[in-house]
Amino acid sequence: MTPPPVAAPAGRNGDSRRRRVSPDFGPPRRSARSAGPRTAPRPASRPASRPRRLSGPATSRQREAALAGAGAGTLGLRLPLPGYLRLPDRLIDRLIGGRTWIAVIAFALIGIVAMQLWVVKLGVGIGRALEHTQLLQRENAVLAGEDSALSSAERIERLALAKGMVFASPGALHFDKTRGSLDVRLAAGALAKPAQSPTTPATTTTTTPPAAGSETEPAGEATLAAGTQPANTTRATAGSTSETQSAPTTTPEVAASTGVATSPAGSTETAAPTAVAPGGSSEAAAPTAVAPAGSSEAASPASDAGGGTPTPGG
Amino acid sequence: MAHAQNRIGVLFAAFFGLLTIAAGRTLYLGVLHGAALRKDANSQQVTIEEVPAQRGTITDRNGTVLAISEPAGTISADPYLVKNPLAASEHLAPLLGDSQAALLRALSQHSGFVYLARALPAARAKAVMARAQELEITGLSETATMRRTYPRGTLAAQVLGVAGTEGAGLSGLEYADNALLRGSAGQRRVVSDAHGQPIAIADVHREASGAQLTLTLDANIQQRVEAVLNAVGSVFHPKDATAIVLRPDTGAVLAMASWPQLNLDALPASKATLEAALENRAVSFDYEPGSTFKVVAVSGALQRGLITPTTEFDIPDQIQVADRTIHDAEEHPEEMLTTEQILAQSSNVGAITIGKLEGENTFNEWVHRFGFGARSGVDLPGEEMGKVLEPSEYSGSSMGNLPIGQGELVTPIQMAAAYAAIANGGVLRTPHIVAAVNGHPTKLPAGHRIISASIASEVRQMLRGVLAPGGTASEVSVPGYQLAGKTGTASKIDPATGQYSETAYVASFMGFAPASNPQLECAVIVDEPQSGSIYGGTVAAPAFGQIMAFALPYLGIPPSS
Repeated sequence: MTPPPVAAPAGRNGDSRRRRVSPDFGPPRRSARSAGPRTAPRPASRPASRPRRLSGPATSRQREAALAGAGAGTLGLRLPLPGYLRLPDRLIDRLIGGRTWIAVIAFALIGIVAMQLWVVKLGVGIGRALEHTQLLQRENAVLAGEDSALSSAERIERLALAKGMVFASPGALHFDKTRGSLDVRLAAGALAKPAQSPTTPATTTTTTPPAAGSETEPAGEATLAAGTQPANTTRATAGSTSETQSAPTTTPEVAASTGVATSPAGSTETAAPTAVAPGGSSEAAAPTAVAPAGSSEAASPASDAGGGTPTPGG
Repeated sequence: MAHAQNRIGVLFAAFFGLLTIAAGRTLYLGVLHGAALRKDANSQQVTIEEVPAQRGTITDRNGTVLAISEPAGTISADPYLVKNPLAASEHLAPLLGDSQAALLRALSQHSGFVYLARALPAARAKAVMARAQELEITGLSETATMRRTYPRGTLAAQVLGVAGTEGAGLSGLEYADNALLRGSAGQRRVVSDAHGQPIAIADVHREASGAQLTLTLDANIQQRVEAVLNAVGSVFHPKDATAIVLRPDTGAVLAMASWPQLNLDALPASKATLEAALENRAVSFDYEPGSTFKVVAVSGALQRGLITPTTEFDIPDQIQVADRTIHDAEEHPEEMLTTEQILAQSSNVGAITIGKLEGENTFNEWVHRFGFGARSGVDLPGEEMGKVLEPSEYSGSSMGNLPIGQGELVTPIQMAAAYAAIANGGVLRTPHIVAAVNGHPTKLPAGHRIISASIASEVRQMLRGVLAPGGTASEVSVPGYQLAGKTGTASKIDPATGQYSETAYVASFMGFAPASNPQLECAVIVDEPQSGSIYGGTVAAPAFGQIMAFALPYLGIPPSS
């Protein structure tokens, strides 16, 4: 029995095919005889027949085997996580190697497209919002203008006069002095009571600043009662006013600007100034307040501002 | 099996072919034709829009809007692109508020750009563009802009002034505070889709709205003052008239009106007429004040201790000063008048006597101390400073003119400030009209004392006599209130002769109330009243009375008694 004449090691698959070596290339070969025996024993640990590696993703069992063979402690591929934080290998395998990724990627792509669409829609929305803002600003400006025009005292006065209201004469207005906390208590009490009927007789309650001479701002300080009563139902005059805390609260500003009144009809103020009769006025009694014609100073030019002699009246 | 292989091969070839085509197309669009396409896309999809700044609002002290800007549209056209100008002008003229002939003329110009309407209200501008689109009229475009509106029309027109179509203030507060009001325009980059819908908007520069001005004016008092001046105008037919209402303790102007009125929303077409109408005569009218100036001579002499309210003077009917003889307004025998009576009866001879008592230099000093000869500093444009002679310029007869308010020029606001000093206890304050900017109160200049409080009180007491029986404005009263003031009737120079006219006068009244503790002051100046009377006591004082009768209770100022 002769040994097989093959000196080359076994092939990758462990077969014993003979490798042909060209004698013309390579380093000078060692003499087979001098190198030792021509036959070498197979390593004892090598399996006699290793299963062929199949294409495709490794199965979990294969991976487990590979990991186990590599030695977790030496390669450092695993994070030094405590056991309870470590995902099961099987789950990792499923996550990485499963077909779920296809769905995930598809979902992500759809999401990106949807997000882009959403951004575009957002842009459209911003555009519309800006247009709407401009529209509102425009309307606001127009309304502010209309509000100003409609609140014109002249217009309100005209409307009030058409309804028979007349201006309160300044003498018909009476002012009451404030009484500090007493007024506050009375006002609070009046607020708690039910509203008075609209047939409340016209009364006047006004307040003044505590000290004469101090700055007197109208709003909230002085109230003019009966300001909303038509003249024909109001009899409040300078002598007929009474002080009532529960009187309607219309500020003098409002009352004055709206043309409502407490004075008797006929006392309406008209804007036209009356040319006051000169009787009693010294200057009015002398309508010619210039230097007499023919006087010497009238002929002489004035040195300061003009010629002649000015004789201004009062 | 071979059949399947063939089909796979064909499918692969088809996909490969499609991929090749796509790659080629991408190369063509992205590289070979990319620049041109990018340019087209930019021009069609990306626009840089100008965002006009909203000009600041002007309100009165109560927030009533006096001037506001609202979005508007300017319609322009490229006449070369308008195919049928006749039809276009026929349909668009009513909407543009223009005549068809004028519109046709504009659309027939040999130009690439013409304005059809500027700063139309936004709704109207949109209607014009919608109509043009509906009728397929090409070549029209709309530019967003702002238009200034004045909701109260004539109210405080000369004070507010006007802003031009380009948004710049041209007169009044619109001009003086243009830097605050105008704001700054912004730029916006808009990317639109194929349908013109914006899909991306980004501010290149953000616009900044103008500041909001809150004035010291009170719209209701202003309206009343203007109504009174209108009545003065209709009764006395003066050349013009002006009135100022202010708080003597702060110098805050509550009303400032000029007549004739001007409607800011319907300005006159003539430039000269417009300029004249826009003039705020309360600050620009130089006039000889007449008897209202007598308080300067009297206050100075009182402060110097030369006289007291009860000092008696022997007052003849006339007085000789150098080569001139000055008469009192009415003939009277020689009489003894106190200082108080001199003011109440407005005696020229008496005032000249007091002026001569002071002497030229002292009198001149008091004229300047009361603020004459210099601008008051009110925050309004176009203020004149008047003209006050220096002692070196005096002639021999100057002291016969100056103490009675002739021979010097003042403005209504100067007079109002001087009387406010008497009313508030002797402190000359700068009148002001802007109360706050964007809600922040403006810093008020400190006043300075010109006469002592006691002298001011004495002068106030003496001025009550003017409206008392025997005074020159005795017919004027406001029930429940004690008034004080001074009438003035000043001769005007006739420009033709250079002499004082015998027909042209300035009637004025300066007064305040309540006399014991003045809280409101009013000045009325009527230039050349033509019919009826010419005197301050009969022309201006009644107007003062009517204004005060409204304003005192309106402001909650309690009656004196």
